[in-house]
Amino acid sequence: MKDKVKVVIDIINELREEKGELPLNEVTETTSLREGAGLDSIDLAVLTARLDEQFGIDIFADGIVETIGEVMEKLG
Amino acid sequence: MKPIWIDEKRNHYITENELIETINRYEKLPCYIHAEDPYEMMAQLLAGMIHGEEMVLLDADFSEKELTALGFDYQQLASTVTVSKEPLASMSELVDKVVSAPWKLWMFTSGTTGLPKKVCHSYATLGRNVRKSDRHRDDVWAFAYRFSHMAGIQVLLQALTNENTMVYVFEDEPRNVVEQLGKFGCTHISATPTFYRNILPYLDGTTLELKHLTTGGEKYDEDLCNKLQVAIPDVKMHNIYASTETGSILNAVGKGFSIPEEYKEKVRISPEGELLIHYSLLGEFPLEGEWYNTHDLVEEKEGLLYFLSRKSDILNVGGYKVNPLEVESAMQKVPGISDCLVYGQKNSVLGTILLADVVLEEGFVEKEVKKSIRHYLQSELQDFKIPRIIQFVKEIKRTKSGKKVRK
Repeated sequence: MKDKVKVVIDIINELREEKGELPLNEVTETTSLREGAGLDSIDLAVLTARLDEQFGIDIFADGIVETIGEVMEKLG
Repeated sequence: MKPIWIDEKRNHYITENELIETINRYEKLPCYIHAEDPYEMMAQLLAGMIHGEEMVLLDADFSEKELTALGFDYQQLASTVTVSKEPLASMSELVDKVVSAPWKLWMFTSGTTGLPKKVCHSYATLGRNVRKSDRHRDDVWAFAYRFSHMAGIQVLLQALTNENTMVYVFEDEPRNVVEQLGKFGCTHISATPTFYRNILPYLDGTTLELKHLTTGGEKYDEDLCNKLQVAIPDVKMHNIYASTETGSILNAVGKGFSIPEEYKEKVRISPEGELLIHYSLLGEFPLEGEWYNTHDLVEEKEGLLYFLSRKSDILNVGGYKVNPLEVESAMQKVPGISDCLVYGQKNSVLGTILLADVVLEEGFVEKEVKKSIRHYLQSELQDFKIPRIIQFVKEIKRTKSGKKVRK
């Protein structure tokens, strides 16, 4: 589980870095992907595609994922 | 006084009178409408329409390169036309003139072949599906399309002719969009499946006054529509088939599009199964023969048309058309790239996401080239055209005739 959290946070920070933003200081289960992590629709699409490639799970398949905790739940 | 345009992000709460005043203030109008503020774009457009002008509508974020590719000289954009000073007196006069004046509006599309195409519309083609009646008097429209695109203009004409309030939510965060739908009592919304996919998580537990919800611009997503129906139980849903060339043309409840009686002779299926539209229903653009091939593969069952897929290289990223060849030719100029292939992959957030396979030149580092791609493309292309997943490969496969093998 810890590894999966790290993968998710690494991807988010990569996406932030590409936009010239600093890595996230603190991430909790309730950190929201949009407001908290600052991801826009294209970033969320990339996150989804990369997690799907790595774990074979489409986290947005049913459309309702808002927080880091919910992403982790989907990844199981 | 009823607001006609609300854009919370830009702090606009424009009443009908203020819109009339803005329009009356113009002495000169741009021939090329590309204002960044959608309100300014609307006011300029309406002013041009009532004076029967010929205008060109452009995305505000087109780069100089993109404009050059469309055949523009960047200097040209500043050209203006002087308009006569006959002040509008009322909203109903504005509506009457928009409906009756001989304005022409040029729009661009990447078409189905990837070559930019200029299409000329008038009220006859863009206003064809506008419904004006007392029933629509109290409608409140959520404006959820790019203003400079055909679908945006159609929402404008429907809302304006009924003097409805428009709430511009297109650029807002999904949570704010839902908040505004409630706050301003929006009754109608037209948007892409991607737009709805993004706001869906925030609809849970909200009570909205939405009565009509229209989807279009991307392939119909049945699963999404079912979820929307659960989230907004009383809403009526429609699916629209439209393009820059055709305007809005077919309507469906669910997957099957019915062909209106008056279009029965003007819509055909080619022997290859592609949808053909008669020129009399189209905007103006060079066309060989009487029929325009949409390159959309369709089948007819019990009088309804079902869309199967698109016979085209053009990708649809969240409702935006992307020509992979245009992106590849921009990428090819990035130092360190010897070859590249841009393609789409199915994605549950955007419908399709852009990927690029890249062959590095010797001596270049992957991470650095990845950074330069983003950096360079940002100045060349609109944001949605930039591939965000880059994969480095040894070679791009080609056919015997030297064409890239498209994925």
